[in-house]
Amino acid sequence: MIELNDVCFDYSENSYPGRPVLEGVDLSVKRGEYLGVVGDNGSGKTTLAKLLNGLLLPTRGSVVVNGIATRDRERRFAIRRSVGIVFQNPDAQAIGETVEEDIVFGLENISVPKSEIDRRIDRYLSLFGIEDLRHRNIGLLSGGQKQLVNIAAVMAMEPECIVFDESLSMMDPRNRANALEKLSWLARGGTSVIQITHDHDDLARCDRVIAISEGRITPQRLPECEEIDYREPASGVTIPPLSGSKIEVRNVSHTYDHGSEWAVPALNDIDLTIRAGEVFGIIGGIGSGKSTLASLIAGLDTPTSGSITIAGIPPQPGKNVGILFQHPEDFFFEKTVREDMAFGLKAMGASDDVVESRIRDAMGAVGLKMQFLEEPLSRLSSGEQRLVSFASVIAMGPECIVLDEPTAGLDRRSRRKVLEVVKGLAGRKTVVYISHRVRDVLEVSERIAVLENGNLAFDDAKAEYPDWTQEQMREGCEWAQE
Amino acid sequence: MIFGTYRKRDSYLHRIDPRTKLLLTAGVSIPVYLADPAGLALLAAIVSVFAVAARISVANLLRGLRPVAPFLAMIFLAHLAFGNSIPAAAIPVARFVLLILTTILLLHTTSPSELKTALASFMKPFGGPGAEIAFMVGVAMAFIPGLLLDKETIARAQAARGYRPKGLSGFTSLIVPLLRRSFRRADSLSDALESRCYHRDAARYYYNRELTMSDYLLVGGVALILVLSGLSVSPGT
Repeated sequence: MIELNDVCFDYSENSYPGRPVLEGVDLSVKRGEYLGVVGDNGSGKTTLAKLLNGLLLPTRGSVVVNGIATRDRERRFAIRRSVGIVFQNPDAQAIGETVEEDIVFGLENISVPKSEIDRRIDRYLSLFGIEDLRHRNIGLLSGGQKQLVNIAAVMAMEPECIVFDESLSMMDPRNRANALEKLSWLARGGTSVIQITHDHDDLARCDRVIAISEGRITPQRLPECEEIDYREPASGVTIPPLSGSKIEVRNVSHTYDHGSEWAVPALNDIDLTIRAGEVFGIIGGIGSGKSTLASLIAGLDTPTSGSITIAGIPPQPGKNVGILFQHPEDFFFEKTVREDMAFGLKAMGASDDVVESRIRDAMGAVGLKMQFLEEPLSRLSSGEQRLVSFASVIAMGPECIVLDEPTAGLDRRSRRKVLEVVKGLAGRKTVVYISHRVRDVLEVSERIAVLENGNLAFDDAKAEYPDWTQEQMREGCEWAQE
Repeated sequence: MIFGTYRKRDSYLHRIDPRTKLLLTAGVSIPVYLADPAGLALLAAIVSVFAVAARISVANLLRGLRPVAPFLAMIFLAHLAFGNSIPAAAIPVARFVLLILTTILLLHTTSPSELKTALASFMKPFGGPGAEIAFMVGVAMAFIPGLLLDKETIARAQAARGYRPKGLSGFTSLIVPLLRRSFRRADSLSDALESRCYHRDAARYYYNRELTMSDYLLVGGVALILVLSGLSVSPGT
């Protein structure tokens, strides 16, 4: 139903003249086919998605949907009607205020009768088990919940083809598995499904997988684990000799808007001891309170009750503790890598010499070459940007580092690098590694804790974790099913 | 005070059609400007009845007034300074208070989406452009919470690196990434709109509802009370 013939595309107004994003792409997608598209961050996957429904037009070649070329402006509506796209960023594609409104929006555009709208809302919300979110404000949902809503809203329009562009990236393992199941269900029902991702693990159910790299596509078998291409730290650099400090979390409870009628309890009586110099893992699903705990340990918020200390004193952000948020590169505000890394150090009042030596050491610690320092941040790949943010935190020289989903949205290779850097910090800094990716946490940490609905469900050595999960499975806990 | 005050609840006023509430709020604001003290007392009584019907606590109403308190004090003092007696200076303040309270009532009981629908319905006589304007207002309203969230996240990201905003440089280090993110967000939003088949002639019908007898009764009742008490309205006080 979709034919791409010799498609080339370059963002001619952009700063990379002569480097097309796509070059001579031929592709044909059949009705009911489940196609996987895999590629690293920045390989042109999103460009391909936008070409499929005419949001972008090819510089050369043609894209034809059901016999209509996307160049045909008059019939663009018919193309959009046939090809729906669920984009990556869940915050920027919600059009309605509430979940229901968001679904209604698309259905009104294609003139679905009112009674049918009701039927489809019920159907597609229950497909993802999110009926209870129907009247909720989208802005207040978690990232994973928003992505489920995005998917339901496009599916409800029942187009002939749906493109999913990294649309599952923020879901916890259980929701992700359910969403993947629904994608293949769609394809079995005759809808063409194109799933774009950097994560090979998501493509197990596809009929066919292609890879995009350097503007070209190549057919793929489901690939095996790649070799790690990890840059060795530059020789002769040393990290400041800091051994990390003990973090003590004592009877911490936290409630947002405490005392008001909108109070939301997030954490309940958490008691944890994190040893100096260890990498401590915290696992939790959507809404478990893990990001709240991260902010508290990093000193960005003060707990409603209980206390947190680092080597006996309260956390001071930028001094004794640093934090890396999810997608920190979204908040770069300087032009070059060097300027961005210097930002925090200058705010701290460090002299130029100190700034320079700290930057060099931190770059070495994350295995980035010094040449990167003069690059504009926008030139770097997502993985490199994440490493730069990481280096910025290390450069501040905190005793403790809190990492909140540090591998979110990264392709396999970049994820490996981040994990290697984290392992390399063991013994030198106290690291709190927070994630819903159980596998990553088990890899980097010796001791782990599990948060469930704001409560501490598990706190022990890694070796005890498998037994515990078995037990949970027997008791029917949803969590342990990765 | 304007945004985010809506609380989903079940009350008489919550159930009233948003168009009726919008009309009432606009309608009451005219006599609020014109009424003499007796008329103001009557209007205050009407507003109180509505506040009870909306199940809003007095504390919540007062909280809504707090941000404008300095402004109200200024009006009061200015009138005193120009030689008015204390009661005479209190009257303009009372007008403002009533105006603000009616607005709070509206925003407390009407969700932004209901307001949007009401606006779209009032814009209907203006055809395509009217619908488009109403739609833009809706999209802009949906954009604001995201903007506030971004601001908060950027400030936290900077605080995490030990940055304490000071004066003008604090402002610029916040505004630059915020703008960049907003542009990106707007770009993505327009892609999402197009992909979901948005076109300006698209009819918005799902949320249409018929005005019921209770809507007519309510508007008629308030109008009747105001007209009957018309005697106490004397312009220029």
